[in-house]
Amino acid sequence: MPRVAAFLVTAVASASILAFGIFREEIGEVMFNAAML
Amino acid sequence: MGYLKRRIFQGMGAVLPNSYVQGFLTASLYQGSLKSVCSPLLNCYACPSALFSCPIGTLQHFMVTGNVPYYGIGTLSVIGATVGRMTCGTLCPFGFLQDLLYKFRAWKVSIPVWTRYFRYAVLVGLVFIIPYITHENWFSKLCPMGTLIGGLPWVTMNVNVRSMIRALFWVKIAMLLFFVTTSTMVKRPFCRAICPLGAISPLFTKSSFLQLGWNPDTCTRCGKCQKICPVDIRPDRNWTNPDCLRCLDCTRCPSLKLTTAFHRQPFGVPGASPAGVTVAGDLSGAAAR
Repeated sequence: MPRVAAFLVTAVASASILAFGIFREEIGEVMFNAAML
Repeated sequence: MGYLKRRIFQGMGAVLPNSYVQGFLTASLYQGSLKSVCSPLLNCYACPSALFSCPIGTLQHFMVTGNVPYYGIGTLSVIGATVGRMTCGTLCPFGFLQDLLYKFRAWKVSIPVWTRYFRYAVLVGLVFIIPYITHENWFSKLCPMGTLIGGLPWVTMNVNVRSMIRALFWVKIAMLLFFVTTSTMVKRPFCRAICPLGAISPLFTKSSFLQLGWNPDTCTRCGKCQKICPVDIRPDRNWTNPDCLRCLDCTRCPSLKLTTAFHRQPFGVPGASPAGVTVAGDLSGAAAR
């Protein structure tokens, strides 16, 4: 049970951080940085 | 996962993210939409054939510009929460190179466990703090994978780049040669002691969806799992070891298997199998491969 809880907490936290990064439109900056090396 | 199957996956991990062959033909970088995706591999995005972004390069870029890299951290966290460190063991091209180099007949040595703490220092120092202070991507400047698939091809293809060679380039070459040489003697020295990706993904080892399961009822503690382990750990002593790459080489032994966080009893009822019944012989000769 602790493993399931740990996974669920980690998954939700990770998805939230990723969603926040997408919301801040960081994808465009990542693409621009990678293309302009 | 079978030995051959992992090698096929590693080959795909080396070829598919670097399949923009046109980059080598026209001496240009891929600039399409896939470059917005951070692949969870140490694969330089300055390589002419690279399709995806390097996650470490992305983290550094945001630190250089004084921003928190939510997208990069989020991508690595989602992958870590799903498969743990499996991408290191089954897809990373630099890990694949080190695995192959270790096959060479050379003097074999093991490195102490405490060297793993270097990679946390590299992550905090070279990826976060120093780029934030100096506004320079210091890990990328020194990364041996960047030298191998980014720096060397550009120096070979482009005269202008060649004219910009300074002392730092030779430091990069020396570091690449150091890791190529040590990889023939030590199992995955870069992954174990230096790689900042290898400092992030172990944070998810105990909480990832995919887990390694160990059966104490059938394990004879023969230690053959350590001989075939690419990072020299004993999963029977700690099957949630943060160094575990989830390469699944050790699952050739029936006492170890891939399971999920939702499986409470991956091997069935405890005590159902007498010790050593199914283990002996299954890993015979595996270390010699």
